[in-house]
Amino acid sequence: MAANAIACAACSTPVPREFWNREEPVRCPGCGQPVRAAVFPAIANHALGVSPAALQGETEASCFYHPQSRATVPCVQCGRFLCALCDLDVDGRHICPRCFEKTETVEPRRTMYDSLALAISTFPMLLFWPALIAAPWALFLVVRRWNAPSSIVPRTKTRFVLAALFALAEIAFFIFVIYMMTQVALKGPRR
Amino acid sequence: MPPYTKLTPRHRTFGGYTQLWLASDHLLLLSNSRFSEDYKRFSFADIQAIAVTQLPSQIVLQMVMILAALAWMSLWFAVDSKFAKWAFEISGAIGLLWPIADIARGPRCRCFLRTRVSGELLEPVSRIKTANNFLTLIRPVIESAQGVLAPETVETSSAVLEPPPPQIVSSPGYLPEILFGTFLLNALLLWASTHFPKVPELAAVLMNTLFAEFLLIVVALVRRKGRDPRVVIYVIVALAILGVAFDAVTIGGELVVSYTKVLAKAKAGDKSITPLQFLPAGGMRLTVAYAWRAVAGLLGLALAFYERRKP
Repeated sequence: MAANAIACAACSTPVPREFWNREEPVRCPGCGQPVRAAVFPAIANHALGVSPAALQGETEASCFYHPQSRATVPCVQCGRFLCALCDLDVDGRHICPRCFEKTETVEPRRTMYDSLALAISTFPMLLFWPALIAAPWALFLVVRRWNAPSSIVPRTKTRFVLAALFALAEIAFFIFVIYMMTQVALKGPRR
Repeated sequence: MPPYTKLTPRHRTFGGYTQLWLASDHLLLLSNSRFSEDYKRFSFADIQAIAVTQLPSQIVLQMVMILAALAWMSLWFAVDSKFAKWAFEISGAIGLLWPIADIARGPRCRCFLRTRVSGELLEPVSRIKTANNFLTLIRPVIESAQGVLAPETVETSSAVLEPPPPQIVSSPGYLPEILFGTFLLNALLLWASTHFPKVPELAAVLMNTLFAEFLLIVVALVRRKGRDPRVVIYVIVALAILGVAFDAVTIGGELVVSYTKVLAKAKAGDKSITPLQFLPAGGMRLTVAYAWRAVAGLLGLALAFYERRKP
């Protein structure tokens, strides 16, 4: 991606360099809409990656993962020799891809069990009878997933609490309905 | 777990919301889809640029919506039922609230964040007010990680001299050619339906092909933008709308006449079949109907072929 491809967010016309980092918005040369481009020094960084150096002789150490490439550094965790391609710089530490996978947990996705429990405890009630199964299921989910990791941003347990309250109320209601039906069945219909 | 600070309000969509959060070393774009959350992290050291463009004002549309809502609410005076009066007022008030809230939130914008390897639309930054707050907060943080971009760095950066990527050329497709073929087919069917009125299947086929012709005209004109650089053939397609409108009037009249005939025969106890005829046989209107289709079909196909071959 070229630096001059810093584009107007509306029409994709490149924003001229003289318009970068202005305090006030300037008119886009393409669509004429006011545009602001905050550009940072990383714009000068256009390196796409590194190529490992090839082995020059038999006495040279080779990469554990690429035997034809020259090793440049050992992994700080497992000690394996790494070429420039396999060397991952994590906060100044040189780590191999396998150790990186084991230690670093960068989660791209999380399931929101609290929202799920709340939905299970409320929506089936609209059709009444499905709640007979859904309410205990929601309660089970609340108990089972109470300590499961929630959102990575701050989030309260309100949904779990509400889901539990709804589920308990529904279960109590169904117990009452079943009890009344049993009573009617035992005593027979009122004359 | 890094502590996160809220950067923007939630940008709600039908299936969830998106929101931006600030961590000590990165920006987090959170996309919530009710039962799960997806996270995209942008390290401060990797962010190259943030571009914000104000979108065109929608004041005309907003005013139209306000006037429509007020007109709807004024139906209070037109009905007697108390329930109907309040139904109009409440539904109108809801309709009124949306454009007013939209105006109050200020001008819209679109914001793109650029790194060396990606470009991301920041959906939560959808209003200028939010964008200004966002830039005020994020700019010093990124600059503390990267430093300030010096003007001479911009001038000497070799990256700036990189050529832009080549444009992606989309194929124009063959829809106009299919449309011109349909014109020719309809010309033939129109001619045949008047010369062989005792074949009812012709009218049935024609009913469908005329509808297909109308649909193809609409789709061809809608799909044209950004896909097909040819111009002349679309002028023919646009002119064909006049022909279709002329025929629609004639066919509509004929259908009414035909329906009246069937009704009269039914009242008289006549059970014989009345053949459906779209255009009066032997009339000038029929000649026009198949003449313009034949001319537009042949001319269109020839020009489409020529324009496609043109470098």
